[in-house]
Amino acid sequence: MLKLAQRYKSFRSISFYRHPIDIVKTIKNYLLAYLFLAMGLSAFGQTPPVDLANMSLGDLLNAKIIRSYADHAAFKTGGQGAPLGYLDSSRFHFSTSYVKVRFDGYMDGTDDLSLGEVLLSGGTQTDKNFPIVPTVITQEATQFKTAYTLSEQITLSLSIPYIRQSSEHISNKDGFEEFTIVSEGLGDIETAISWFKQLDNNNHLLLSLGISLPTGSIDETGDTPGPGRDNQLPYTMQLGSGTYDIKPSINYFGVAGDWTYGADLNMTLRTGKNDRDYRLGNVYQAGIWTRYALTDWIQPSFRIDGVVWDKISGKDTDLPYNPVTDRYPAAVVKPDNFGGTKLLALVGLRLKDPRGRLENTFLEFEAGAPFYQDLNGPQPSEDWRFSASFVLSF
Amino acid sequence: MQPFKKCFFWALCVLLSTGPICAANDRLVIEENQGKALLIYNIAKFTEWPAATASSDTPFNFTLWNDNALADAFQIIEGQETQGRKVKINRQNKDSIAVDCQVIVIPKQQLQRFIKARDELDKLPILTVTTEPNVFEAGAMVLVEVVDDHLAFSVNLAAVKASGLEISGNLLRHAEEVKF
Repeated sequence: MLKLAQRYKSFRSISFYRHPIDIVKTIKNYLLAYLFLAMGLSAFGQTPPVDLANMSLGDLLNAKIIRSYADHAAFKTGGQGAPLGYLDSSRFHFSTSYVKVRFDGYMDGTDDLSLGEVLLSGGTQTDKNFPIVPTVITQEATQFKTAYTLSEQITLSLSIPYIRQSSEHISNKDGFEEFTIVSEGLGDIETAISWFKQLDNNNHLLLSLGISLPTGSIDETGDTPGPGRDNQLPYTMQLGSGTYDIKPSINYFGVAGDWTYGADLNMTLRTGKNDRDYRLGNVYQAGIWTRYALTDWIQPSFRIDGVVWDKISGKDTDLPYNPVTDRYPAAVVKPDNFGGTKLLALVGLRLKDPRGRLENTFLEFEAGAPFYQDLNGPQPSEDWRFSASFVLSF
Repeated sequence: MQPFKKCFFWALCVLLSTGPICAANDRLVIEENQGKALLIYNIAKFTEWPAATASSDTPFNFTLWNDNALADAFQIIEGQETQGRKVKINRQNKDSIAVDCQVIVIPKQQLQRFIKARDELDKLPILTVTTEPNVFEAGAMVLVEVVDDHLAFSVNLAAVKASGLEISGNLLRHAEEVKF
């Protein structure tokens, strides 16, 4: 027996041999550990059951309060320059917005130029005139956005834009005295993560980091004066940037009685060059805004935005260019004729359900125009812009 | 398992399991609207209404103006008893004043409506509670708010007394501010 016991002991000491009794013990240990951990870790996700209705006043005043934002100041700022989804106690947020921007006329620096000055009509072409001149450019974007609130402070969002652009032209080319080109399709899809920080009862900060994916086409073609009938369209008519763009933003907002106010800083930082060997300029936007609650459901707003954007770096070699004379047929195909600075004033109106039932849902309109533009020109100048958005949270 | 590893393993298990339990038990966590509803309910418990207005077979009415999120949170006290009467929650989204209630809760963005109703409310034995500092400044009796991460309340005692109500000193000693 003793020998047998010794042999059994020596067998157990060999690591590759596991006696069934050991295996059962090990499983039992791991099960116990698992139960122990599960019980403990579950405390992270819940508070012990308490008869809340019969809590003492002292316990109630000592309790830690997790904010709900449905009736909070932050809610009032939704859709105003700040990403969707951080603003209320809802988990899911959907919005759809329509934006239309119209460019009409030309500027060089801060000077307005007439179409006669920009269109080359006889004589020699200079840096400031072109044989083809877009007269009215209209850009429309319909954006579908969804956001999911992961926690009180973290929200993930996804934006899918559908873009339509049209450009009316005049030119001195035979057969193309007046023509219009149109492009439309999916734009660059964006995804972002936002971190919300309540500074105090009335002041809030939102930091976001987004990335724009090159899902919008940069290969749009159309019937323009050129060697064929299906030529590469200018930069302004493409639907995407073609690059992965980093989009950090900082949004501050506060409340004072029926007034809500805020400031935004948004950037679009391009990375690398796209497949056509160019990179659109970085965009830096800063804005201040305020909104007044006339009633529970009518809230007008006013906003001042400043935008600075850079020239295009590199060049799409499929766009027409005369290397001998170093001249371009249109301002919108010349990379140096992009970028500038502009200041815009916008007025808005937010409408909520007057019955107060759809608390986290609203319709918002905003319209405005630049009151200062300093463009690397000649460049088409913005005439006005309009947007309408519908936000639904649940 | 080696003895040292075994000790370490079990110590880690104990630490991970008991730590969160201790932390969770440290302070109860309550959602904001639910906390406000409970605090308003507690304030009502410490308030006395003129005897003529109380009848034990009628409900004790809380009326909430235009705030469905807060009204939803008040469901936690629906059916509870206070002042010997069952609590009933009423939602009032129209501009009229519910005279048949003991407590009116005035949320944010209702300042203009409150100012319009203030003269009429002053004549009634109704406790006016608000979550909006501007409404409190305009004459509501009690302000309930979140300060940092905890609930706090202030009382306009002069307005309470003018309506014929009495608030217990045991409640007042917890108030952030008492206006006399």
